[in-house]
This record gives sequence, C-alpha cells and structure tokens, in this order.
Amino acid sequence: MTEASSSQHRQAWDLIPWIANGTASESEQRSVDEHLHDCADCREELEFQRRLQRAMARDSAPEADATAGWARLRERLDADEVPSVLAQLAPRRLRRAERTWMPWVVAVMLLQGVGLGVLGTALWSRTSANPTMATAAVGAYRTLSAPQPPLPPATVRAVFAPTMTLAELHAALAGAHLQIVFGPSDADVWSLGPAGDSTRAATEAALRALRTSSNVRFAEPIGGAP
Amino acid sequence: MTPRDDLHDRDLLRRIVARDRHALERLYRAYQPRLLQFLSRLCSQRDALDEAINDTFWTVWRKAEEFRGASRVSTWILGIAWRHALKALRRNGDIAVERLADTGASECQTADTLLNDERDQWLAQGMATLPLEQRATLELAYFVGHSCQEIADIMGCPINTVKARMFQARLKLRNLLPKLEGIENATALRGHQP
Ligand SMILES: [Zn+2]
Repeated sequence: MTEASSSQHRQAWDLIPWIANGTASESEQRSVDEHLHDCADCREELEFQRRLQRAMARDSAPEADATAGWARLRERLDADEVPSVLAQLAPRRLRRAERTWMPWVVAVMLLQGVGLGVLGTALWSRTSANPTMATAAVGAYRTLSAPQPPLPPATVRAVFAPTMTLAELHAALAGAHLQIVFGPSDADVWSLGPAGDSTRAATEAALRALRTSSNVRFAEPIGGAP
Repeated sequence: MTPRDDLHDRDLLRRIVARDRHALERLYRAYQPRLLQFLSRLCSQRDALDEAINDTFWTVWRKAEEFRGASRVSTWILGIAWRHALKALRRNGDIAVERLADTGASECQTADTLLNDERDQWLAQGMATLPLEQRATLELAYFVGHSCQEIADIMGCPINTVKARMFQARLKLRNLLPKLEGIENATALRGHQP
C-alpha cells in the first residue's frame, strides 16, 4: 500500500461509522465510496458496523413517566423561587418562626401579585418589631418610623388552621377581598387588609366570607373597624 | 429532529428565558423520554437517571439564556444531560449496564427471539467492557444517530477525540463480538432506529 492510499484508508476507516449512520457529509460519502471500491477491509468493516448499528438500535428504554418527572421538577422550581426572593430581600438571619413562616407569606404575596417592594417592607417591619409585641404586631407595624408602605391598614385579624394549604388560603382571601398586610405573629395571628374597597360594609362582608371557611379558626375586626 | 422541530425548540427556549414554565414543561415532555432512552444505555440505576434528567432541566431553566444557537437545541440539551449523567454516575458509583435482564422471559420464545437474546447478551457484555466515554460515543452514533460533529458538541471534546474513541471502541468490539456476524439476519427484523 502506498503512503497516499494508506492515509486514504485511515481517513475512510475513521469515517465508516458516520457512513453507516448516514450523517456523513456528501463529500465524505463520495471519498469513502471511492476508497471502498479498492479496499476490501473497509468494505468488510462497513458491513460489520452496519450490523452493530442494527443490533444496537433495539429499543431498551425503561418506562418514561414524564408526568411524575415533571411534578418533581416543578417542586424543585417552587422550592427554589421563594428562598431566592427571600435571600434578595432579607439577607439577615431570620428567627425560627420566620424561617418556618416567611416562605409561605412570600408565596402568598407573590400569588396575590403583591410587589416585591411591598414584600421587602413587610419583612423589614417584621424583623424590626420588638418580638415581645407579638400579639400587638399590627400596632408595632403601624408605629414604626419606617416610610409608609403602600399597603392598606389592617382591618381584620385572623387565625388559620395549621393544615390549611396555600391554595386554600389564597381562595379564602380572594373570596373575602382581603390581602395579607402582616403576619403571622408569633401567636400565628395574621393581619389582613382590604384588597379593594375599604368601607366598613366591605370589612363586614369580608368577615362574613372568612367565617364561612372551616380553615378560619378566628376572625375579628381590628380597632376602629367594625 | 427536523430543522422545523429545532425552530420550535428555539421558540420554547426564548420563552423559558422569559420565565415561562409552560414552555419548560413542553420541552421537558418532549425530551424526557429521549434522554431516558439514551442515558439508560449507560447506566442501569433508575434513580441516578431520574436525578440526571431532573438536573438537566434544572440547568436548562437556569441557563437558557446561555444557549448561543450555534448548535441545535437538541444537541445542547443532550450535552447538558451527558455532563449531569457523568456526575450522577460518579456519585452513584455504578456504571454497569445490565440490560441482560431486560430480555423478557414471558416473551414468546421463537427461534428468532432466542437468537436475538443471545446476540443481545453478547452485545451487552461487549459494551460493558468499554470505558464510559467510548460507550457513550457509540450509543450517540448508533442508537441516537448523531454526526461526528454533533457528538463532539454533546461530549464537549474535539472531533478527533470522538474519532479516537470510536476507533478504540470498534477495535474492542471487533474482538469481542465475532458472534455478531452470521446471526444478524434475524435481528434486522426486530431492530429499528428510534
Ligand atoms: Zn480501506
């Protein structure tokens, strides 16, 4: 074999798998075809690789449950979103109750379309509040010298069942036209404000709506509200 | 994978960059079976496979904006899957392929399937002796059907490395699989390209 034909042989030999699987370019295909004409070794190798390919093509895939797989990925996305928002907004250490509750609060606020600026203010006021004022959380919140947050004043105080899901909370708040102003306090009391109308009648209607939910343990008006 | 599919995939990626979860779900549902099919040829542990696929789409979600469009979306995703599979395999410490058990005993044992089972065993044993990179190269070429350049993109190595790995794998299988000759006529009836 001459030097030139030996280098041709090596080139063709390397290309054979991609001739076999049909992904070689036209010019590669042409040059290999030419070489095959004169080289029995390469012809035989191409035949062997074709056999190998056919043998490997047998489908041996396990059951692909895309729905279950997607559910797992979605959980991971959910779990990631809340802490990353928290990390941006509250780079300080949170107390235990806050670690437990804040992701929930953040998630609710996100669901309600509450702006992140508002969320930041709520977090700020919460961590600034004197922990001993837990049950008077709303009072503490109002007397802070912080800039006024663009949230309505709280008109309703409520306690929810610990088993209540996020979706249920969302539904209950939507049904009562309320939004979370602050919470939960260490005693698990949430302070809620009107999502729309802030009239006395609206507050009364909100209380009636809240009390129809079995997940609402307790709901009462705050201060001057009915 | 036609150019039209790739256009569709690119559109999904753009929406993923804009944080559209529905787009991610569509991409996931389109690719999860394919990735599982490919990766299951390299590893028999289902947990490790699921983990690698989950990690793959996690990366797609976070890095979609880094897709430069030089390759097809399918190649890009397969490359991410390959890297995560390597990690998962190292973590789980098992790269043994045990496809032997796959050949169902309940199957009607005609002469052809007996012949195929025997061939599958030879093939599985032969493949199991190859280093992971060589095996993956072979699977990408013959099972998935990628070009040399695409395999280089997926595995993140030069084209010459792909050729060298393929060369080594072919040499070894040549010596290990003399039985592949002569009994493949029956396999042609059952084998198909996905
Ligand atoms: Zn030759």
